[in-house]
Amino acid sequence: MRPLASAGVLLLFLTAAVLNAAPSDRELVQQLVAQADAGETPSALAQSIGERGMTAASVAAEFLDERKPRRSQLLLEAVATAGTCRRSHAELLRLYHPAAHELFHTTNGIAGQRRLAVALVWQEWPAALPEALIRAAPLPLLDWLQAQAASPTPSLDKLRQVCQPVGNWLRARNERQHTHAFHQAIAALVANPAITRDLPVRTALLRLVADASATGSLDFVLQQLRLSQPEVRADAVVALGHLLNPQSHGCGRGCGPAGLAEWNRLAAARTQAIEEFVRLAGVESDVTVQAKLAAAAEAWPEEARVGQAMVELFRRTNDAGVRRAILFSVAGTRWPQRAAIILAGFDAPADGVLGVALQAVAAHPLPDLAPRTLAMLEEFRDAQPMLIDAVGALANPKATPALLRWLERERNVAVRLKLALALEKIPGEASANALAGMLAREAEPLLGEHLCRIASRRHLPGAEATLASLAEDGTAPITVRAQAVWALGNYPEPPARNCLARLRETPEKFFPATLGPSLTEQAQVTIALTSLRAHQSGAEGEMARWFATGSPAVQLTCLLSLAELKQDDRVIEQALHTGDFAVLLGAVKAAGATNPTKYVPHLRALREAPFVAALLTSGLDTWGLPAAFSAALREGGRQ
Amino acid sequence: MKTALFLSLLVSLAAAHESPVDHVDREFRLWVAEGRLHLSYRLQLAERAALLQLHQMDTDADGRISHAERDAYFTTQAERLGRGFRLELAGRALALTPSSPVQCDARLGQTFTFQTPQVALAPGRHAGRLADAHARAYPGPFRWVDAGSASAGEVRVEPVSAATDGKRPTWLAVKATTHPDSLALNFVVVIPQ
Repeated sequence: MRPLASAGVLLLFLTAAVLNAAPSDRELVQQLVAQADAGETPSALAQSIGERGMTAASVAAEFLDERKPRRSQLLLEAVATAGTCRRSHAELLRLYHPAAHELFHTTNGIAGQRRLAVALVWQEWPAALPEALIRAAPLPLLDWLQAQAASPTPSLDKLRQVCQPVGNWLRARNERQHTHAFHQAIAALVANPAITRDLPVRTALLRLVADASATGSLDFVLQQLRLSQPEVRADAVVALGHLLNPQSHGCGRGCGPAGLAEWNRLAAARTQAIEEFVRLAGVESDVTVQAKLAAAAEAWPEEARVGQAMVELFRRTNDAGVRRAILFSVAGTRWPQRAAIILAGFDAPADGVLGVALQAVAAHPLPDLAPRTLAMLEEFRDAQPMLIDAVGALANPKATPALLRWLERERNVAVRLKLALALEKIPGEASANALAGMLAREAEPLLGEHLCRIASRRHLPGAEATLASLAEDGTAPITVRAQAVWALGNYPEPPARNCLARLRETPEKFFPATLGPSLTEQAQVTIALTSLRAHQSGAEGEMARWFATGSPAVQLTCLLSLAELKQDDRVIEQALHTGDFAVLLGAVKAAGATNPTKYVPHLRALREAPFVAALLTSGLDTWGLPAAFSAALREGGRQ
Repeated sequence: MKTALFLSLLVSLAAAHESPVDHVDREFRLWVAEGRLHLSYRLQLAERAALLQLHQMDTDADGRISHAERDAYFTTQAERLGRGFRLELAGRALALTPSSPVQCDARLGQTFTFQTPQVALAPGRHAGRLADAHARAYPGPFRWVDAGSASAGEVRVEPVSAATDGKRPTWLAVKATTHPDSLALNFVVVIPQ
C-alpha cells in the first residue's frame, strides 16, 4: 500500500472511531478503490460492501472504470453479492430493502440498473461482470442478449461468459421476475446462425436451455440430435434429459396453479421430443452418446416406447458403461420392460453391471426377478451389500437363511445395518427372532438406534424387555434411549407398559436435569407421545399441553408423531395457522396422514396463499413441503 | 443436536437438508441513558422464516403488506418479545417495554428496542442478567455488540464472560442456563464516582 493511501485509510478509520460511527458506504467503497488501485486484492472488503446491500452497490458502480480492471473486478464482486437479494420476493424487498425494491421492481430503477451495467460496453469484461449482471442488472442484460441475437457479428466470447451464470441463476429458481423474458432471449439467441455455428457457444446455449427450463427452445435442442458431430449430439442429449426430466425443475404439481402450469408445459415438451429421442436411441452408434441417451431416458419414466428403446439399446451395445446407465435409469422409472432389462443385466454381469442391476431390483422388487436374485445368495460366502438390499426389497422368506449366515460373520456396522433393514422387510419368525436378538446384543449406538426404530415399526418377540431396559438405562446413548421409549408404544406387553408408566410417573429419575434443559424436555415430550401411542389415559391432554408451550421443534415432533400414528387431533388445525416453517411442514404432513378429506379446504387455501405459494415456488429448502401438500390433497380426493 | 434428537426419533433425514427449524442470529446492545437501561435486540431471519412472517402479516391475503398490517404485526411481536425477557439489575427485576418502532434492514434483520423504567443506581458496579425466552424456541448464534466505548467517566454497560484473562470480549458465547426457558446474558452496569 502506498503511504498516502495508507495515511488516508488510517485517517478514515480513526475519524470513524472518534466519531463512534461505522464507515459509510461511500467511505468503504473509496477504501476498496484505494487498495485495489494500489495493487491489493481486498476481496473481504468487497464482500462486506456487497453485504450492505444495493445502496452500497450503487455507490460501487460509480467507481467502475474500464481502465482500472482490478478495481472494477472487485467492485463488480460487491455488486454481485448485493444483487443476490433480487431472488427475494418483492414484498420482502419492499419491507427490508427499499433501495433494492425500487431498483428491481419499479420503473425508477431502470436507470440505476443501467448504471450498474456500464461495463457491458467495455471491450474486455471483468470476470465478475456476468454474475453482477444477472443478479443486479437483469434488464440491461436482457437488452444486450436480444442485441446479440439480432447481430450478424455477435460477441461470442462474451456470450460464452454469460451463459453459465445466467443458467445457474435460473436453475436455482432465483428468477422471480423475468423468466419469460429470458426464455424469449434464449429463443432469439438459438435462432441466430452467427451464434450457433460456434461450437462452444452452441454447447453453452444447450446447457442454458436446460438450466432455464426453456421449453420454447426445444426445437433447437432436437435439431442438434441430427448433427454429425457426436460431441454435439452428446451435449444435446444431456440438455434434453435435463430439460425434460420431471425431477429437474421445481416442485411440479405440488406448487399449486403456477407449478401445475409449469408441469403441464414440460409434459407437452416431453411428448414433442419423444419421437426424436426414440429414433436416436435406435440408431446411435457412439458409446458416449449412448450413455447419455440412457441417462436422459429417465425424462420419460412412464413411457413404454422409451422403455423398449432401452431394451434394444441394452442388447445392441457391448459397453458396460452404457448398460449400467440404462440400469440406473430403470431404477427411477416405471417402464413395463424394466424386469426384462434387469434380467438382461443379470446375463451380462461384468464390470459392475450386476451391482446396478441389483440396485434396480431393490427399486422394483418384481416377482419375476425373485428366482434369479434369490439364487445368487448361494454364490457368495460373504455379505454382498447390493444383494442384501435387493432380497430385502423382495421380502421373500427364502432369503432369511443366507442373511442370517452373513449376519453371523459380518462385523462391518454399515453392512450389519443393511442386513437388519433387509430382515425387517422379510416376514416370518426367523427374521423377527434374529432382529430381536440383534436388539438385545448390539452395542454400536447407530445400529442400536436403528434396531429400536425397527422394533417400533415391527413387533419383535421379546423385544419389550430390551426396550424397557434401554429406555431406563442412564448410561445408554440418549438417541438410542429416545428410540427405545418411542418403540415401547408398539408393545402392549406388561414389561413395556410398566416401564412406560414408570417413565411417565417420574421422568426426572430417568432423565435428570443434569442432562441439560433441552434434552430433559425432549425426553419428557417423547414419553408423552409414546403414552399417546399406547392409548394411555390423559395422554392426549398431555401432548396438547406440550404442544401449546413447546418450541417449534417440540411442535414438529408432536405433529410428526400424529402423522405416524395416523391420529387426528385439534393441534393439527392450530398448526396450519402457524408462521413457523417447521410447524407448517409438520402440520401439512399430519393433515395428509390423519384426515386429508377434512383438511382439504384449509390445505388448498394455504397452498394458494400468496406468500406460502411464493415459498413453495422459490429455490429455498422447503423439505419436500410442495410434495407434502400434493400428497395430502391427493389423499383428500382433490388436486 | 436438539432438533436432530427429535427428528431422529421419527423421520429419515435427507442428508442434503438443513434443519427445518429456522435459526435466528441475534445481536444485543445494552446502554444506559436518561436513567433507563435500553436494549437494542436485532434478529436476523432466514429468508424462509421472513416469507412466512409475511404470510402472517398479510391478514387480508392480498399479497401486499400495508403499513397497517406491518405495524400491527411488529407491535404484537415487540410486545411478545418484551414479555419473554427476564431482566435483573442490582438485584431488582425490571420490565422491558418496547420503546420505538422496529427497524428492518437489508439482511432481513429486525431491530427492536426496549427500555426499562427509570432506576437509580449508586456509583459502582451493578450486576445484571438478561434472559431471553424467545431464544429457547428459535436457536441461533448470539453476539454482544458494544453500544459505544464510553470514557471512564461515563455510565457504561459491560458484558461478563467466564474469561479470566481480563480481555474484553467482542463476541460473547451465551451459555444455556439451568432454567429451561431461556438463554441468558450477564453484564455489569458501571456507574462512575
